[in-house]
Amino acid sequence: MSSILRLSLAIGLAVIGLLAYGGQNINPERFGLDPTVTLTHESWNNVEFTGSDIPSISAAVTKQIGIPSGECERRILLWLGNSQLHFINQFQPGDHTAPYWLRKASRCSNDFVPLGVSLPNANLQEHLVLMEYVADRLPIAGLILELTFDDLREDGLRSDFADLISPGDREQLVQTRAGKEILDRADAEWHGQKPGSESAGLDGFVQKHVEDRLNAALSSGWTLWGERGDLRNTLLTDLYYFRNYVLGIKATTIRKMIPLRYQRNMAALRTILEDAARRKIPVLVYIAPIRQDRPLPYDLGEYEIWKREVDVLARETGARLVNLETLVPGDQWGSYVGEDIDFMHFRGKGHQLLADAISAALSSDHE
Amino acid sequence: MLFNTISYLVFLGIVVPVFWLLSPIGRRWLVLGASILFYALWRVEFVFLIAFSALVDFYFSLRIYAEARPERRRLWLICSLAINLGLLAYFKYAYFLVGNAEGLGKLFGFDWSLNVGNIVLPLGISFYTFLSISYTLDVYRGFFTPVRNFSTYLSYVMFWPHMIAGPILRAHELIPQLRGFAKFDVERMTEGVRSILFGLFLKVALADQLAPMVDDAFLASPSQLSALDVWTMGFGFGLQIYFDFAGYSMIAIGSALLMGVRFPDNFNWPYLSSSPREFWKRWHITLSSWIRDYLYLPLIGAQYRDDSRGGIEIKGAIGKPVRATIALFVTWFLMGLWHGANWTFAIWGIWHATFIWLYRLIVPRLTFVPSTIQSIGGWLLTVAVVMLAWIPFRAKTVGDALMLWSRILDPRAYTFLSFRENFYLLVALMFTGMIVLFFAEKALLQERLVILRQIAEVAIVASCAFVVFIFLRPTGQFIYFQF
Repeated sequence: MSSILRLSLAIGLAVIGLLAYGGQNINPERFGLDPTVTLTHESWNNVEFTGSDIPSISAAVTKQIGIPSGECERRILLWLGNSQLHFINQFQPGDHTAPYWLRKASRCSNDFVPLGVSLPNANLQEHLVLMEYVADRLPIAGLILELTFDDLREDGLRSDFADLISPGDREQLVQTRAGKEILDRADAEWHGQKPGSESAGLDGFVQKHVEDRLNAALSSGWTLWGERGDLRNTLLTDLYYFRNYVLGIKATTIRKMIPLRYQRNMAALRTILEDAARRKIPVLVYIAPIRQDRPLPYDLGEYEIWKREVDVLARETGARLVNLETLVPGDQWGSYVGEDIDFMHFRGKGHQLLADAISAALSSDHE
Repeated sequence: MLFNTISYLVFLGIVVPVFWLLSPIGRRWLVLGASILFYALWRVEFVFLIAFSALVDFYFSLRIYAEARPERRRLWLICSLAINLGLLAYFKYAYFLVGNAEGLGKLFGFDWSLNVGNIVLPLGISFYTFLSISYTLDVYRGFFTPVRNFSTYLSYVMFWPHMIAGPILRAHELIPQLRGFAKFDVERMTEGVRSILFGLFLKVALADQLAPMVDDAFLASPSQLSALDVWTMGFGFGLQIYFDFAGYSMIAIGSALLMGVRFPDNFNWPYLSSSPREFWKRWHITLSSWIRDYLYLPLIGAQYRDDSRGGIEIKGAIGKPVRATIALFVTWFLMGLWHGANWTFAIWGIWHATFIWLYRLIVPRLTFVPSTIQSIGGWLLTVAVVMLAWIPFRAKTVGDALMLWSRILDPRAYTFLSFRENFYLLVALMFTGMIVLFFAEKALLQERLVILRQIAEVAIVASCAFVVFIFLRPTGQFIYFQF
């Protein structure tokens, strides 16, 4: 077989492979989630008050600015959390997330307007930045902070935070050591460029204009080229599942804490609590509900030590801590097949239980 | 222009067919024009800097060649070197020199504040400066008759496949090929396309996937890391820079082949070397050969060679031990600083010099050790030494580098891991995969396995094309662009 024939055959095979592989659309925000888990954004009088990614968080915050008080005194209660706050497992009509139930339960004139700000696998460094972001734009009367042990394995700011942080936020953040470190690391990672940009390596090159135009032209005229982002997500997802299959990693596999990330996140938690105290914002910290009818995928020793550390930290900074880990009973979580269990997202009823528990904790504070 | 872009592939798609349709004279002008456009797509104004530098060398080389009096010849040579090295010193080392001068001043109680302004490092300056120096020195040494046509010389300096980050070619290796281009050859064309595909695969599918993990690791405070983390960082960056630079070199080689121009190889499975000396015959071969011929061998007073193959091959040319040892350390110190204006690079160079020196000292005394054990033991040691050398190369400061190194000496630092599991997994997989591929390639070279080899080639090229199509995007530059 001649070399040109071999090359043509190989290119042909690659094209067939790409055509066969294309057409799948994987949303990275739903990565690893059961198909029955539903993203839910909540609104009140047509004004959204929850956000689950940077654009929707930014929109929700903006929409709260300048809204007339109406019949309720507007005291904004910032609720920071992870995807537990915006996903409902096995969604049924009439289901809502916990911020909605808290808002509904609130009575006018003496209660709060919750603002649900959540990101999938949000780590505490991101929560710190989000808190500064909201606190600089809205008068926050209270902070509810969800703590999930698993999220302490996450690190740094996701790339679209670059669009969120204003110079004013930066000024605020660099005043604390943890905030400065978070920003320094993010800046070093982003290299002053717009992160996630397809052509970030060409910043400063005349070629960038040519590249961006070519890309846009190809994407509009050639479906397969336009789908490259989806192809990347699909391939990386398949590799993720392949890794899990080969190494026998399941949802129930115990995940050890990563010391460096743990320290960074705990430093961020301390800064959040200290900063809230400085701003005289009352804080309610809660250990997030987790599925209890199956063995936890945590190293229980590490988990206990963490809870004790959080307890100490809350006491030192004057925050209120409630442990809601056993709040949602086993039947209010998602279904499971074998060991592929969702430990994080509960059904509609679970959201009501969570809202009730938070409401009760707030009421006891109020009294 | 960056290689890992769709615009570069379009550039090739236009230039290459036009090239083969033109007459030999037309081709020369096309190559020059395309090279200027290639560089101008970074920054137009710096094209004039390269043209000026090239004009200086072109002129001085002709004067050297025409001059019979040795002292005059030497004078012209010094002028040429001074201008080349002066430009390099200004653009690349001004901040470094000023920073060190200020630091030194503080040491003696002077508060100097020297302002050198805002200097932009011209892309590829380290590479085309070495190219120019080798040309002038080759003319001076009588190895090469200087070209009398400036456009030919400019094409040699600016030929786009090698201009930004090598391979560093000698005049006699490239200029004859640019004067009379080879005839159209399908084999060369397919070889070129394959080389570009493999190079892009190494860059976008391997180096760019490792990069965020390595970057993140080196941002961590060294005191918080374990010894296993440091080893992984060394291996991780070692693999990243290898895939990145070998990928770049393969794209350069492939691009030149599309016009019938053949470049020498720049990498040859360096991490499979069983000694530091062998490593430098397999890693960035054209730079190692340049350093050998224009720095190391002249320093020890040995007869230099004149080709960019073989790397640092100094067998039988060591000369007097003391002089050779000093030359070795000076060479590597400068080699380190060539990579970047920071003491971390100098440490990297000295580290390599130390192990080459130890190798020379110890290995001749190990004749009683069976050769298999020498090979395996040598490989293990070489890999460890080379990978740990990447720590100062990548670290931000000398303090960070020393702190990271100190972690591996602390037995208590071997009990935990600080990064996400995927980092360790990816580094282990890539390193193992590289070794497996090396042996698979060797096995498939057997004559009787020709069919299997062809099937494997089709499968590998198809897989590379598949992955490159998905991942091709300039999310980052090539690491060697900063040098």
